[in-house]
Amino acid sequence: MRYYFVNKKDFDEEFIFDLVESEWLSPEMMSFAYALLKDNEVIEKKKLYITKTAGRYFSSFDMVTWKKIPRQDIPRHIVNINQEYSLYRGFKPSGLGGDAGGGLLAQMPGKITEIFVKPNTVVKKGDPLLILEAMKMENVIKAQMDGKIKKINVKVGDTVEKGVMLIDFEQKED
Amino acid sequence: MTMARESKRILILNRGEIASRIGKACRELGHVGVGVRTDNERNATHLEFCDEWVQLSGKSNKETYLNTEKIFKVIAEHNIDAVHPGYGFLSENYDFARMCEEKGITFIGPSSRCIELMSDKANAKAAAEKAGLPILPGSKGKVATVEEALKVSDEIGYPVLIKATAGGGGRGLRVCMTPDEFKTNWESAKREAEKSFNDDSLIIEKYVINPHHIEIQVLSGKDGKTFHFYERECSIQRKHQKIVEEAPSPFIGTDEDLRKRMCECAVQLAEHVKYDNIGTVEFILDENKNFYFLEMNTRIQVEHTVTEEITGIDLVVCMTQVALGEKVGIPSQEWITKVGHAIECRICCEDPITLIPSPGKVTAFETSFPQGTRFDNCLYKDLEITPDFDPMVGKLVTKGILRKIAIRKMRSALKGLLIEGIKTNVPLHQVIMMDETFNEGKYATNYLDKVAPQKDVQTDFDTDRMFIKLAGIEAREAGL
Repeated sequence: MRYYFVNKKDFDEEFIFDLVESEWLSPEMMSFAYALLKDNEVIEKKKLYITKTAGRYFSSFDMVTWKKIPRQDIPRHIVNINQEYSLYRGFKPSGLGGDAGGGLLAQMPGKITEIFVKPNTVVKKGDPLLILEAMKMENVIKAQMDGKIKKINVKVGDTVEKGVMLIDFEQKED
Repeated sequence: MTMARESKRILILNRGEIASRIGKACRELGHVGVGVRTDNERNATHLEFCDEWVQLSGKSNKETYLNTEKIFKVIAEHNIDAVHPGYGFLSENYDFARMCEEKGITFIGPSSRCIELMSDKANAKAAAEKAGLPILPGSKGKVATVEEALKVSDEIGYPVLIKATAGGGGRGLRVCMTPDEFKTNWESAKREAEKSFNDDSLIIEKYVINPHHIEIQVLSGKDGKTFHFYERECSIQRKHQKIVEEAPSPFIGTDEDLRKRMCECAVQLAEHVKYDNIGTVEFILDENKNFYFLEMNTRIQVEHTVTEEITGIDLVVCMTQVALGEKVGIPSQEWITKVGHAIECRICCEDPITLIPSPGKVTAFETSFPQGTRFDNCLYKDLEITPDFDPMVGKLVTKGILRKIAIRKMRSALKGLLIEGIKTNVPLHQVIMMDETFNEGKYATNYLDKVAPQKDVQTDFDTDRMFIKLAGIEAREAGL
């Protein structure tokens, strides 16, 4: 079984986890071996053990130290500290990636309360672009890189969903 | 013989962890806690601690938690005797408190007179000055125009702070280093104040650079007698919202004289204004240990937990008893002692580096905490966190006889807090708990900017963690 982890913000970042082997070692214990691929190359291989005791799951790499792990069904996305990855099992839908690079996606649903830039405005990394009000806070959304504003797809007062392209952005060529 | 005692019906007008907290207090006192839930809170965890609950039809806060008409209908239909507003929502709305008073419903909190006085920052400051508390130089009351405001700022000298008179939670608050910055901030502060509090009046105050934010918990009885419960240090803030709180303050440390003076000032203010329930007197403490009155919060606060942990007194129970006219049973100030040290980390669903809220669905939630940990929360597996509410989902509290033991326990507790599916600030708290400045207790309100623990959050793709997650999912699916 193959798992694809696709970074929600940067579609180019993708990890593939291949389940190479799984085995029941006892009615209470299973082993799993994975290969991790990045850019079509295996960068890591690992075997680990999962056991269930008193209704709880524990994991171990060496069958000596065991760590409690939370029960969870297959989620649609997985968080690694500050990055969210879409999780696809078996196959990856086509149409991912491509033209999203450079644009400004709404990272949370909210309301646009102020826009600081106009089309053709040249901005530097860190310049404020707009204010997205969400969770009772005014969040200043800043430019992620140097470049030029191509098109603004929202106006003040708009309520936007997560993942909406707010601003089309032209990255500065070095 | 059993003691005859009337059981009251208390409407718990809040959600999340604080509603659970109030529910527990109602049960303990033998009252009936009546919870509420809105149409988009079908899986509200706080109802677990309510004896009954009522559906508040509607989705937005305006249609539900802030809709006084609907709330009074519920109060009448369900024979409610008292209302506990928690924090946020209607907790500091004096009109609502007054309506309760007029209808003979007990509002669990101070009287509308006290809330009204303290809700206006200009009036609160004037009252504090009259009570003999040190205050910061600033505008005499509200400032109407930007021209007038600039004049005041020139007089007191930059940097200055623009504050919404009705403010709270950092909304309508702006620091201005120069007159230019002042002009740009003025409008946005006004707009934010109007939107958040329906009141766009602003005041100007001298801004103390890198102060400590210290607050004193007080409780006044209906007889006007006020007790204090020592201080809390709330200096670790982002966007003027606290994320880590502790009691006692490591900056005050062993300076018992300073502690005593601050506590006495808080009591002095409460007694001067004839305060009549729970409250918090906030102070700014500068590097030279000069303190100034900042404001008084007329509600139970998020961080009341750390005070409860060091004093062993249940503040939610106390405020309920005071409001209902029951005996709290605190004989004297000397009776309130503090032992050890407590720390609270606010667990928020937000990016640990940018600190931007990150709502989503909790796909797994489990805990394994060290001895003595308290986790007030509203989390459960499958919880959908919507952007309509505050991003705080829990408060992790540890205590120890020494500060370093409380920190050690917090490190372990953070490791044992397993939340999947949403970004949380747990990795940031982990860095703070390991940080030297924090461990030495030498931080001020500029901590997140100056020490910038966000930069030390490890963001590498954690392959081992992913292997474990996938194996866990597969094992579950295979039927283990």
